[in-house]
Amino acid sequence: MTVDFEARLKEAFPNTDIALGGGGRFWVVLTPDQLVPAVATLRDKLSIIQLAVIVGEDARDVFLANYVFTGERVVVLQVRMDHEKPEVPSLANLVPGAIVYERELKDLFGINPVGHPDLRRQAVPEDWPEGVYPLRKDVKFDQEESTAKEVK
Amino acid sequence: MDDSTVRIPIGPQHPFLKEPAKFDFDIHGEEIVGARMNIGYNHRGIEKACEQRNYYQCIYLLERVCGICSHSHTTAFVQAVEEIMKLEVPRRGLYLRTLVCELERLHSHLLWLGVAAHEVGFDSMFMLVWRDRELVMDILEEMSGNRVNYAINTIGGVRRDITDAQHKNILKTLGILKQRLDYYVHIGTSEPSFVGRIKGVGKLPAKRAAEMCVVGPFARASAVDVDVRRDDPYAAYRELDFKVITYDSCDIYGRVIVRVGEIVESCKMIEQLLTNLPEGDIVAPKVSRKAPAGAAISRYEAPRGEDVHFVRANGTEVPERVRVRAPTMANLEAATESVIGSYVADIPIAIASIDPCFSCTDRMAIVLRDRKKGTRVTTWEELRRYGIDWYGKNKGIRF
Amino acid sequence: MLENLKTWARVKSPWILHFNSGACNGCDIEILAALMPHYDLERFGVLLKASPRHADVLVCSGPVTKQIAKRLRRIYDQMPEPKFVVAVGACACSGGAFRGCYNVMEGIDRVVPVSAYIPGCPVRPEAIIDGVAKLLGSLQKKSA
Repeated sequence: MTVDFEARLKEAFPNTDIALGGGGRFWVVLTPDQLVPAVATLRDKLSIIQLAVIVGEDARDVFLANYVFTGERVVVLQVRMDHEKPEVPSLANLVPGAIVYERELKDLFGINPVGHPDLRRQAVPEDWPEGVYPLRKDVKFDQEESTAKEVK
Repeated sequence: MDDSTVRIPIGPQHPFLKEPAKFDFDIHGEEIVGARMNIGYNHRGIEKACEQRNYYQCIYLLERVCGICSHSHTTAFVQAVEEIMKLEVPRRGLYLRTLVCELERLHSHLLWLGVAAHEVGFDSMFMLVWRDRELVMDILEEMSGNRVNYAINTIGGVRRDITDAQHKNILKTLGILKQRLDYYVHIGTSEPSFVGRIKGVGKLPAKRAAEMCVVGPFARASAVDVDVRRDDPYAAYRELDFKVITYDSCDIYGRVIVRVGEIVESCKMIEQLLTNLPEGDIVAPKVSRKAPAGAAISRYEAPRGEDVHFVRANGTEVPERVRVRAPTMANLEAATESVIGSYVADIPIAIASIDPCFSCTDRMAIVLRDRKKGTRVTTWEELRRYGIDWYGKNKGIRF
Repeated sequence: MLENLKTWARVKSPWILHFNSGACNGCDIEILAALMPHYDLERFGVLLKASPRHADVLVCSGPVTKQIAKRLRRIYDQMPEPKFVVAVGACACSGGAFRGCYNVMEGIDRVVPVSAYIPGCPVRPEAIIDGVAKLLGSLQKKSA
């Protein structure tokens, strides 16, 4: 079964970097514009439609967005982005369930999901300062700063 | 939005969701025509905090992501780290871990059943179910020392073994619980006044459920057949014989059937685990404090659905990135949608039916803005009472 | 005489409002379990209310997240005098496991004045009963 799936995956994604990781998960490395066709391919050729989570990462020289799809097997589409211009196309039309995770990418990393239908603040409070993305590596939180002054 | 549609904001502090959320419902007469939700009130910065703590401290922190499924989060995290470190957990350790998993599922579903009964007005059932839930809490306390946040997981296995006396006690308590369960199964599935409140309410069609990528009993009640224990087995589930319960009514009744079925299956699984408990060590020997560079994705079937953890290690004692996707997050948007088409009287039970982490304590105020009568404050208790009375008057369903 | 009657009413039947300021729900479930038949806080006359306007005691759990802080203050202000606040759990007392996290204010005494602290992670129902009984005892002593 493993060989069969791996063969089908490699056939659906020719000329792409595919690695078999621990736990039998497949990692496929893509650029941002390859993302939407890849999701359509997963759905049409491999019948994998369930998106579990989108994990953003700040790898210091690039930004990563890992789209974890589950079905017959777990396939992770890893999108690599320029650190200066972190942007991915939104999956809201293909996969409505992606809406909540894309909002988090924006709130916590500043990765902009282009074409998202409803990009409101989700993870951080409404009065959180613009441009401060908590999960980026260069953003540090001081112990003193977090014990903020009393609320009146 | 014409003059006859009223917008009701509910929240932001809810008792019944893991992440307190603010909902806005558009009401036309009695029917809900629009719903929106805002979350983020429970955001504590846990993922950032994990990047500053070593793996053992992370286990401690992640246990407190959720008080009801604390074991889910630690198990998922520890499994991911064990995969990165290429550790093999001894069989007895896996069995004990699975035992606590199923006990947690038992107490969580019983909790939810009581809360659902409370939301429709059946307070006696609420009290009875929670009394029996205490039986399960006593077992957990005997095994681990605490009723909640059992701290039984460590990297490479579990921290505590069970004695023969505990072994016998668990089986005995399970026997008592199973007798009481017959009554709850009967009420949950065929008592006309209870069923009358939940049939046809909060519908989420199967196709939409698949599109929104929902998980857990919420999905299984809409005929989406996903269960990580069977699809992607972890811990000792490969060696267990169990059924995955699905139902196709897509409404709250289906969710009750699925959860009650899972309670019965959990009891069977616990018996299997205890009967076949292997001898041996409970933890892998020589676990290093540092994890080699690598990433892992761990999936776990928590009582509420699929819990996904992503861990990236960088060769030090401290993880590079930890991502926790709790099941309620996947279900929230779909739950908001499922309320559309139901009545105002159904808001409490419809939202509680996705099994939020904690429900039923009345501590919410709803402001109903009526152009003619002006602003009026209604409490959650009044909304509940309104729902119970409305169904009594209009559908003849009384408790 | 009226003072004695008022104190007697307050001490014998404190009505509580429960508030979760961003907690993991562990303490909240234990507070609920304390009201259930097994531990039965209701025999002390404790009643769980929905609205801050009806409550005497605010039972609060959770490390206050920044988003919730304003709402917590608003709820406290809406309660009629005299009012008391009980901080339940390690998080409500001092931030607990979340001390040092961004978005957390580390203890509800940074937002509202607290009358009683009940530590624990999560708090055992017996500890909640103990805390409530001590608070009621001190109210009685204060008025005597």
